[in-house]
Amino acid sequence: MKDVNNIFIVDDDAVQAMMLSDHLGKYSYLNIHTYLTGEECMKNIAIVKPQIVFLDYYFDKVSNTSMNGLDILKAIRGEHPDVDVVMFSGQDKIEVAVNTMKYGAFDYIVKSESAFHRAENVIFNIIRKLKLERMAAMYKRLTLLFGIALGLLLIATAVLYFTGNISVNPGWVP
Amino acid sequence: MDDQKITDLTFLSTFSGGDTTRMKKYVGMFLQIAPQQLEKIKGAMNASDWDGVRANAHSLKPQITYMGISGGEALIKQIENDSSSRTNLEGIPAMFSQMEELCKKAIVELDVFMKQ
Repeated sequence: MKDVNNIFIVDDDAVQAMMLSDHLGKYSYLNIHTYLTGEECMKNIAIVKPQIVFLDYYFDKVSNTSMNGLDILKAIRGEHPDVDVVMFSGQDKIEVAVNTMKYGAFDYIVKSESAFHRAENVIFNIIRKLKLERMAAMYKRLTLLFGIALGLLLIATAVLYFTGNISVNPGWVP
Repeated sequence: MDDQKITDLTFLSTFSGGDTTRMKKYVGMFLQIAPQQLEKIKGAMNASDWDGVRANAHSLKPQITYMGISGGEALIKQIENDSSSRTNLEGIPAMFSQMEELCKKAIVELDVFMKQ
């Protein structure tokens, strides 16, 4: 379970953020970092290198230049494509969910009583995904090595054959 | 009879594993934040800032759910939707008054819980 150990929770709703942090905190291997704004998140993301960001869809704009959820999602996916972003929102509209997936969100969770268990399940899904990606990369490397080995064997056989060191008749047939 | 409780802390209790210290942490945060949110909604409403009404109603909505405020979730959702779609704007003040009343009663009940 060590593929995921750093998680960001980015939400200006302090109660929501605290509850999610406490709920996920039961997994001792998770280091949970909570930020109230997208700006704080972006300042720390390259330093802490989280595997998952739970991101609120809607932020109470402090100023006109404050980032909203979609802005933060795009920024994270653009600058840190290996970080999975899970959107959290009070909106249960399908078009909002589809829009966030379009910009690269891994999942979309509606803030409700079941949201916390869903967040847990998403973490497990991401861990599974990371494991599968690692296995796929390993198989790719193994296939490449096997291909290289096979190729070298064929080349060696061809060289030995054409230099007369080996013949078609292995000598079993008199 | 006005004895009927309007808050239901069943969800919070389950969420907190029955840990009242933890429950009080969340209730305490709600007691601090909710009045501010209500003031923001009222201010935005008085200024006909419907985006502001929507934003603050949106923020308050999950907390209303978590505190189990009976009837509160439907009201706050309606306020959020109407201010977002700019429909039934004239009905929002009445809904907000109801919401405010509910929250005041909820705050009284939750204060009692905090003192236990």
